[in-house]
Amino acid sequence: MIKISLSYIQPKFLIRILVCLLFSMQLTLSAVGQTPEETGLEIATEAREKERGFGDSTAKLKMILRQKSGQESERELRMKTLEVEGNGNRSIVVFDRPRDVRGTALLTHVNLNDSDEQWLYLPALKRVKRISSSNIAGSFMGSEFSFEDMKSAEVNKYDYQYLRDEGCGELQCTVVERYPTEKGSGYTRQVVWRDKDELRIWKIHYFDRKESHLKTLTFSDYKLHEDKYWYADFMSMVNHQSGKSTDLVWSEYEFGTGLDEKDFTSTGLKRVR
Amino acid sequence: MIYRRGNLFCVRIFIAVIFFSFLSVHTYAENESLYTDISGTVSFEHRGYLDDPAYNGQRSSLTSVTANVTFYFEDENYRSFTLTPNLRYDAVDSARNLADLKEAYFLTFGDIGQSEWELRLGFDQVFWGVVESRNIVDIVNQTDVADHPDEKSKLGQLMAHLTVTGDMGTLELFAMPFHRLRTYPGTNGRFRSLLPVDNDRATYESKHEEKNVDWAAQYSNSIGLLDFGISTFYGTSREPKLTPSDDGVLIPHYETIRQYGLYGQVTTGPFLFKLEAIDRRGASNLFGQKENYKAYILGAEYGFYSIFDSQVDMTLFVERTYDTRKSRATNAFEDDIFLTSLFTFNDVNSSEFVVGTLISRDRESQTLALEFSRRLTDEWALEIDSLFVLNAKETDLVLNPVENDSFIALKLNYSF
Repeated sequence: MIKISLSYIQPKFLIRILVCLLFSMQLTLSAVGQTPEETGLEIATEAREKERGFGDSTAKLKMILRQKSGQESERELRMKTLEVEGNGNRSIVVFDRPRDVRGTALLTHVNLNDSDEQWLYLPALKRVKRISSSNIAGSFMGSEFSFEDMKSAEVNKYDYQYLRDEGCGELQCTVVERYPTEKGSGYTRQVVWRDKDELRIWKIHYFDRKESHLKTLTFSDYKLHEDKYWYADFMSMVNHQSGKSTDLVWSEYEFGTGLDEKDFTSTGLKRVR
Repeated sequence: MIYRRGNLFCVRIFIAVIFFSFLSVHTYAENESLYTDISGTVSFEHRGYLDDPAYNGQRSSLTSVTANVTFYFEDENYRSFTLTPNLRYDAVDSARNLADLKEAYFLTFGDIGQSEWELRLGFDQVFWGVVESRNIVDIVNQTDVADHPDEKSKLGQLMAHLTVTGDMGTLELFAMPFHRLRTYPGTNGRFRSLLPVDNDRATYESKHEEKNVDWAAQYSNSIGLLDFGISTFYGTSREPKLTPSDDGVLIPHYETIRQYGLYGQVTTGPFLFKLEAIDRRGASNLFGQKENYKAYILGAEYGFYSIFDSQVDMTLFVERTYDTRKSRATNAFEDDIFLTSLFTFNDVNSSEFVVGTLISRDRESQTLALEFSRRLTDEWALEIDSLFVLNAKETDLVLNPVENDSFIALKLNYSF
């Protein structure tokens, strides 16, 4: 009997028990010691960290704008993005369609602790115009996406609250509410569904200033790029109040294209094609 | 001393550039990694004047077609050649016919340490300034006055344009070896005075005539909320002194001038504050006397977003224009208030409506502009453009001659 019981206190077994104990303790501690605000922030921070390190990228985007009647119109544009260490991304959007705005380009410097800077290039006049970046709630090219919806979500531009875990399709998702802190935002809050495996967003509910459910954005066709970054090739924004919707179809992602800071200046903007 | 213009030189340059361009493009085309792109716009315009003409020969309408087509070639080192002929045919006023090279330039760029250089060689267009009423600092290109009385259309300028951009800002140097004549409406056209301008008899102050090399430089930078630039120009003025001849035409004479310019813009939230100022020496005033002058434009812009809970944004522009020559100024912006409101509908068709007025404080005259534009299909767009001279006293020597020339124009643009 003693011999047998002694086998329980073999070092290997002890360590296993200890690890189990510690692990469950840590889990209980984090569940008890972390507020829903902290959990929400942690998820957002971790998700943003996972997006970092790509350097620069280019992609093509087709927008399909659908009226309530079902009538469709299309926009085609190209995106160039540069990651900036310690600050928000820099991006250039070049419009290809409709043809009357062909060659028009929008340069944005996202600032983490300040308002963003934007310059618009008008090819007919060859004029670069510094424009106000404060109309973030305004429609992007007449679509159901506003300027703030098109930007990468910087962690410090929201407050967070973790709501619950729930199944989303075959995956388990965290549901986190976020409250925009940026001046001029069109929303009081957004509810974000992220899967627990890769922290990919599957759905966002947008609530307007009157606290009513304005829009729903769904993500699909996730693809893995550079063995590291998950990007959805298809996004669909439905406006529940107007009955209109906009689909985004992303394609031709490229990384390490040789873009640098000098391409994201007003001189570089005048060269853009 | 006055020198006559050599007529043939312009034609020779034009042919040489086209020939050289095609030769280079042909050489390039043998390279397989060449990226090419063609884009452009063809515009059809009909302008109807509301009042009977004031002068002999003038017609009651204008019908024209304009083609702007860009051919773009780029090699694997991002060196590029851009060719944009700008062609206009007017069925009423032959002086509005135009065969211009808006762009025909080679572009190459590279790094020097932490900075970057860029070189453009050939015909090109440059824009300087920040205000909406009239960009007084903008001096590199000649104005295509015949195109539109708002004087915002330009002609291509032959130049060597070097840009160096670094942490300290952007420095640009321009050498411009060939002068372009300002276009004017002809005998049949509106927006002229009693006497039409005869460009064939243009003269220059410079003994090198149109082959005088003009120089310009600009330093610009963007620091936080502030964007600014300081510039200088030395060479043949883009604006001529107009002198009546014995046989009833105005003869343009291009003087040698020096100009210093400054612009600045502060962008704070929905509020934008703007300034443009110049100091010009060597030019003549409205009465043909040499008069050095200063001019400035102070402006503000404010964006009202989603007005009345709709999708519509309204941008308000208020600008104060001033020219120290006052009534002797050669333009309509001598002591004026410019008020404009832009309505952006943010609909699928990108509809826009502009209402603007320019009120002269000392000449007591006023003009009103109404503009509307929207897209019809992916390629076609519609523009309605109108300009009304509401009130022009006889003492206003700039607006009184054109007080009968209020118009409404319909424009259809096909882009590809």
